[in-house]
Amino acid sequence: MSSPPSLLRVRIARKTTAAQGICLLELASEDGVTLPRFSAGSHIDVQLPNGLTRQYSLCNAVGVEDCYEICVLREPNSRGGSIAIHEQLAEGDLLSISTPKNHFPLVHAASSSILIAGGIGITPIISMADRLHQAGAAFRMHYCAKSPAHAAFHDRLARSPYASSVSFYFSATGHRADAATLLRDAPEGAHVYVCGPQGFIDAVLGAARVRGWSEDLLHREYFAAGPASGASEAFEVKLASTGELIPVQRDETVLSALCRAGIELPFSCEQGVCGTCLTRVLEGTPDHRDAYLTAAEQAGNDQFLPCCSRSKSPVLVLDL
Amino acid sequence: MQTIELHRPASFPMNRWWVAAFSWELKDKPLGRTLLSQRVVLFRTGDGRASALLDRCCHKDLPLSLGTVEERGLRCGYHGLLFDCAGTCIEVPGQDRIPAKAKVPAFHVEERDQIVWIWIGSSPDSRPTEPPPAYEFHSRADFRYGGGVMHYEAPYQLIHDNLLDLSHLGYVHLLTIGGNPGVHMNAETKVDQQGDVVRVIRHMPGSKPPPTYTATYPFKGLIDRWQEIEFHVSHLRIWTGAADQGAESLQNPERGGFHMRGFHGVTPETDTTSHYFWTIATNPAQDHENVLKLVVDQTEATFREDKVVIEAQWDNQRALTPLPQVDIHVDVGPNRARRVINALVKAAA
Repeated sequence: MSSPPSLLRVRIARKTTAAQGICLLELASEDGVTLPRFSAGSHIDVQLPNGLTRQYSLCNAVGVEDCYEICVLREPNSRGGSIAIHEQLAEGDLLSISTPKNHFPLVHAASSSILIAGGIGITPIISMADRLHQAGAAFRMHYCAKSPAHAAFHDRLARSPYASSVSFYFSATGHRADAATLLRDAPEGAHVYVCGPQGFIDAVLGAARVRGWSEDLLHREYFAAGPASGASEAFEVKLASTGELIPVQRDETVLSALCRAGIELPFSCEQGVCGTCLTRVLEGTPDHRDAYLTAAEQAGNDQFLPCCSRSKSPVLVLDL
Repeated sequence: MQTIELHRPASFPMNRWWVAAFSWELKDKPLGRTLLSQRVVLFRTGDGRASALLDRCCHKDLPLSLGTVEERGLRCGYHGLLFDCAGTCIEVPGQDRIPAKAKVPAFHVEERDQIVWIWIGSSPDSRPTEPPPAYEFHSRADFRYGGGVMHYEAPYQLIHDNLLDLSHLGYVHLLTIGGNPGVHMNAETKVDQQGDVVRVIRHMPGSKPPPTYTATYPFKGLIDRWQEIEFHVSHLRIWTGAADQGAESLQNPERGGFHMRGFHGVTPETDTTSHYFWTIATNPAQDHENVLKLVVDQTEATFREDKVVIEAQWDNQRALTPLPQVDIHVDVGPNRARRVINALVKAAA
């Protein structure tokens, strides 16, 4: 019986260590179906033995077409997907994966490109470098990691035909990159592709915008370590009763920002499930991330759940 | 036909059909049952028609459910007053005159697909505004089903909570439909709401088949499982099943594999007790009789596992002063259902 096109059965043909805390899996087709080819930046969904599904970028070495190569960073503070891969999966094990999808494609008409990888973010970036080199397109790659031992594909990049276009930055040796350095001397109209931890991506994009890069030249892919969350920007909430403005940082919730400012709200689940912290919104546009309000209620934009939801506008005026 | 007046504000969603019984429960005897705090007697007359009256004789208050069913109606077990399907007294043994006031309130009842539905209205002139829900899996040729009626010492919404969250399978139902708890607690869950209907959809690809599944279907190894739960205030429809890993698309509503279609008519008896009318239908690939028996037996065993949990929850809730609950991710669907019911109860108040 052949699988429907959306799902593939693969076998772990090889499992090796790519770097400290990073393993490389080579996935071969189990039921004889030819693995679909993929564009640089693509990823697959992998269904794990503990019931989770996780996305991994395809980072095949040039010329490898009979299997998919993915790298997995061991994340101790997640729900155990990467731990399951590192500790439970072995060569010969079967997995279900999706066909490749691409939310991080290269722009064909780009005159030049700047590829920026932070840590495990190298996985889609290295595919992009290979493809740009094959196409004879101009590019520069910047790869930031803790140390060479922590950097997957360090050797592959150092031995690649485009090694002179790659710069490494190892924070453990004090050679830390800042976003300004990475974007220095960029050609006019260069496209920027960045992948890595959220803070890393935000810093690079922030620096690019400040230097006048327009949004259509900036491309990113976030790897969510835990439950998916979109990009979070800082904003402010205003208390309608006093006019007080309270900043909400990127990595905190409205609820915790209010708590820090001494404003107490009832709360319970802290996940947008129970509705206990429901608060009226008088002005501004909430960015709803809860599961409690119906779609119609969310569209009304006159209430939100501060334990998880954020703001699309710079200021959200709350009935507090 | 006179609808019963309520003595107190409704604490249930009103003006809708609720499950009163399964057709096979009404044979030749009257059936007394409290539904939404109302005492009802259900009976089937000689013409095969199911009817429901207030379970109280207008003469001396005896429950009519202690009487007998006859060709033309229900006869009270005290002095033999005979009432027709509309609750009108049509005979008083020993006298010619039948007082005009000798009437018992009647309820609108309709049978559909082997389910007896009763209309519970909030005012005397409330009439059904639509037919009761259909349930095709009691009539389709490719499905066989069995079921039962259970009584819970617990409020009906605790049963909703339990049915709208199937992530507990790996902890509560290890002997039947459980499996690996991690697979259930981590399964991707989508909650969708259209009006008063709440849907919870969960997919568990690449699972190990649980005991019930391996006993009833020739799976080859790992399976792709699904659970699709649909809440309709008066009842829930739950479609669960599995196919061999990778064999079917879980997005396809016509997909093959092993199917179980559950009907769950959850009708409040009182504020603190409930009736649970359930059937489970399945599409056996072979050995129809034995597969059906296995599925029905295992399903009943599953509900008994749930009953222990639900009644223990209620017992604790009753014993302890109300303490705040802390919700987790599994509560999204149940909370939507509770919001729907709260809104309906408020609207009828």
